[in-house]
Amino acid sequence: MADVIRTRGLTKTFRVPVKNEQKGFYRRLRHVLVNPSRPFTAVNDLTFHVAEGEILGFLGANGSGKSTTIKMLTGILTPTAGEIDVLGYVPHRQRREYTQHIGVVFGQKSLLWWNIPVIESFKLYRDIYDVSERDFQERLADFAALLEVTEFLHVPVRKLSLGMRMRAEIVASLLHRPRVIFLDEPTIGLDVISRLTLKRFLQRVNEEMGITLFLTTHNMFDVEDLCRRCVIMSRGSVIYDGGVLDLKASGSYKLIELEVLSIDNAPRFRRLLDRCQVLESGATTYKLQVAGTEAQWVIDELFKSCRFANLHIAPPTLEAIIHRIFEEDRAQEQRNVETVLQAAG
Amino acid sequence: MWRRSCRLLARFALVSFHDMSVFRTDFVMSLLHNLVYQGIFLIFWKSVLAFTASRLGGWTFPELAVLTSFTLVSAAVAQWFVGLQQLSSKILDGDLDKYLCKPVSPLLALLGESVNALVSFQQLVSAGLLLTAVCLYYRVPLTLGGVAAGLAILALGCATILLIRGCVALSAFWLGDVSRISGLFEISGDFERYPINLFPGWLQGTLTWIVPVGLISTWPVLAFLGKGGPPWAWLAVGAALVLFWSLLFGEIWRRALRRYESFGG
Repeated sequence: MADVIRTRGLTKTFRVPVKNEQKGFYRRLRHVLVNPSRPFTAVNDLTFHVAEGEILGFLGANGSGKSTTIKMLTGILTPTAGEIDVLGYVPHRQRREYTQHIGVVFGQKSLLWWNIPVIESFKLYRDIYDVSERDFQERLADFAALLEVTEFLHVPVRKLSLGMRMRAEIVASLLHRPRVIFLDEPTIGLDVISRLTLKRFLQRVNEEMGITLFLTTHNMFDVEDLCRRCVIMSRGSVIYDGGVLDLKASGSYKLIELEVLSIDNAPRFRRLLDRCQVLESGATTYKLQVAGTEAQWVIDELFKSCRFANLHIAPPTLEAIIHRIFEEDRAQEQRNVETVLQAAG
Repeated sequence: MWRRSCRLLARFALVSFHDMSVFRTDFVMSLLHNLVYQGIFLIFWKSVLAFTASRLGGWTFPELAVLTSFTLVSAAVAQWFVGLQQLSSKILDGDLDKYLCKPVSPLLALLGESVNALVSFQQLVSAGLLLTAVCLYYRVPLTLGGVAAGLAILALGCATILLIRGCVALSAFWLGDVSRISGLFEISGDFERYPINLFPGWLQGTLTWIVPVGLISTWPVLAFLGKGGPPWAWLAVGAALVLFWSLLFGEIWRRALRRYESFGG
């Protein structure tokens, strides 16, 4: 499959105001008048690609640069440096031609018109994207039925629940049959049922219409359910780019939750605990993390050293794995800072 | 893209028309409101002229009444660009996002959201009624050339004022909240109600070149009435100002888009 999105060395730097810590009246006054700022790099040297028909999960903690990246990819922001190619267009330079082929959904910001009925918003989209009346009616009928939008077509957007609004936003983003849809946290704040409906719909759109989906989310279940590949961002840079299954496999440890009835062999049980990382422990309950290679030995030892009421063994969740990646990245950054400080004497 | 943007603007106008015409009596009441409001100014001029032997610096009452009607026309035009007043806050709130990711002119679409089509229509109807009544009652002599020149100067004046407002609003990309600067500009707009050729020379110059309020009231009205010399000079001034401000506006807009920072995720 050919790539539909390609970035190379993509960088975005913002100017952020500097706190006024000047002493003396004139210096303070000068600070107010000049309003000094310092550069802040939100996205730093970002290089990745997305193949046609792929669903890419774009992950990262708050402030990691996900939204800035999506805004550069959609032509909203102009990059400070680097290259972007989406569907053969440079988004910020060929915005008018380019945006005809993409759909955008922001979970935290409505792209519909707040005070007018949903159907009027859809008609505005029809006019914006130059969709013929016949296509508009056909697509609206299809999508509205699938996402159960019909019942609130004549209700102003401001009166919709978050779930209804998101469904309407998704329909609007599809009316012109885009080749790529950028979804920035589309499931944020949604209940389980709405989230499931939305995910099923997106999967269908991807499979049946071949639309490439670029998805940013904090919800790891969305990633597990929808994406085969994900990119993880931290402090504006990519720290992981690969398969979701590979990422899950990289968490080569097991979590063992244990509720003990009695300990028959205390020294053996203590030895066992020493070989594990005890995440939580109560009077009779333990949560242990063990290396994948040691799991079998730990379980054998448990049977030999105690009687238990409950034993639960599970691989780590994707959330736990990503959390660990972030922790490692943060620790690495800390080490880098310390090295620089040491070198500076 | 312009075709799409205009279609979008037309749909916004339609939506605004529907929204505002829900209450039928409002239409009549708004007309009445406009006429009463302008009537207050007419009473004021009548009272002033009672002390000044029927002329005020060369202006008769019917001419001042025409001037008052013209202010309604420029107000009606401005209703299509009410969005300029909210533009700086929309820029700061990141509302440009919605249109920057769509194949339309983001600026036109953003302005279109706030179009007051019905109010504009009401003001035009009020202006038309007032102007017709004054011209017929006082038998104001008009020529086709004068009317055309007056309306052309008015159109250029409205365009200039709107472009200046736009430039002030776009400075929000650099300065942040510019509502105070806009407010200052709006206040100076109150001069449109008075014949500016009554003022000292320096103020006339200011109100023609810097805050060109004269181009939406005094100068087009004089051309409309066939007074104040050949209208070509004012047409040339209007055209020059429109050209200057549109070039400046275009340049600011291009630079502003590169600078746009949207807002946090």
